Amino acid sequence: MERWKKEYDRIVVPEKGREKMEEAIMRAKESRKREKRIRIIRRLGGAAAVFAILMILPNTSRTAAAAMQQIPVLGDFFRVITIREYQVDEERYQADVKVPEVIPEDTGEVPKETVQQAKETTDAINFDIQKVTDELVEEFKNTMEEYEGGYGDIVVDSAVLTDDEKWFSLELILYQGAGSGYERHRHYTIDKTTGRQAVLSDFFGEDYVNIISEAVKEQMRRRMAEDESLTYWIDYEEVPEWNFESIAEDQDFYVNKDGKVAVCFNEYEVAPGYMGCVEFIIEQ
Amino acid sequence: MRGVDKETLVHECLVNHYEKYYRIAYSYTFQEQDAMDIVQEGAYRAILKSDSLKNPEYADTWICRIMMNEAVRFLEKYRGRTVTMEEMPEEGREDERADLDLRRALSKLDAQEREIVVLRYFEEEKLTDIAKVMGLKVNTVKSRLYRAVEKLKRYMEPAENYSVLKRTENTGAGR
Repeated sequence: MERWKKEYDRIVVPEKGREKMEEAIMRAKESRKREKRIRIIRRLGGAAAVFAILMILPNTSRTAAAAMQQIPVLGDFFRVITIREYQVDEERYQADVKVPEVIPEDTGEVPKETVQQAKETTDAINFDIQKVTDELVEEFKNTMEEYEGGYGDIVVDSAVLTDDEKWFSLELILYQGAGSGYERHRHYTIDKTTGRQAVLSDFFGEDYVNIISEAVKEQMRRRMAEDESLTYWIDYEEVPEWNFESIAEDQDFYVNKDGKVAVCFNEYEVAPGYMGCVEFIIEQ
Repeated sequence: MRGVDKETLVHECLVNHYEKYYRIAYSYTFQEQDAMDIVQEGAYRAILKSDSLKNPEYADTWICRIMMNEAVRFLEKYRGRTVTMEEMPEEGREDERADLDLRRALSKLDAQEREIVVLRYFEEEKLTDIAKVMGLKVNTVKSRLYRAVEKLKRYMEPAENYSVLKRTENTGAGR
């Protein structure tokens, strides 16, 4: 056996094989990238199949979108259209950006002043959406121009999370990838009875920061105790400064289908990156 | 996001251990061009499937296996072209005879035995690692290894029998 081992070790390794291997790796990475992008879009396609259809159609055909959106739904007050698209499909850079806009509909069922209020609310929301997506696209364009040999992709998409008699919640999904990816969400919730954008103090009163922060900590501890594969930055003695202390005053949240408040954190905010975006349902 | 990390890991592993993967491929074909093709194809597959790597610790052994599968596929595709002794390259090298000997010995083994022998004796991987990536029990790997050595023993000169047998036993007991 030693003799064969010696012969084996004597095998001469040609360096040009290394280059060929690198080429093969690059080819494989390219085709994975393409595959991954499709997967992300599919994953971001919305919580329910209905939303996926609503979201895909507006981008394939404007007329189909219009037709879809005219179907009356109970409590149908807001509709979401894609106002702007930005697509790049190059070897190294890919962008799939669909900027949504929320529009209140005056169906006659809703009092005039509520419609007027809703109009102001959606203007502010649309402005915010526009701003964050513009920043992302701008950054992407700059990278593309500056680093010819780099890689990057961005995806902007949206999903209606709740649309019932009282609540309308929209999720804006922002994905940015270059080597490794970073996904963040922003949520906008409108109270249909008032036409105003919901804020956390509506649900938990003036002391909402403390109430929610404590509830989040308690849930982090409980989840970690129940499932040891989960990690949140809490009671983490190695790096105490990572520990979650308190939510922000303008902490991101939405109202889910059960009418409950879901507080949202982006990747890395309160947990290691592999945990992704995390949510906590806070009982009132 | 985890998938991207694995891809990077596999990429690094391929670059760092290129020579090892080449040797493995070569030990199947004994042909420079073919071995390079196998490594190329194996690397492509490893990156493409990097998500299916379950345990990052075993990335290297996992890639070894991919290379071996690729080599077997390659040989099956070109059966007769590379396997027959008559078609050995003409250019006579000093160590051609040695090459031939290793090649003859390995050709006595079936695919799985060959995999285990190469990983264990030539690449000096741990039995537990081999077992893990092959999805076998450590004891199964041990017994296959023993069977492979038995086969090789029959092929070898009688004088060497003793030392190989002893080494296997030591390995078996030690791990």
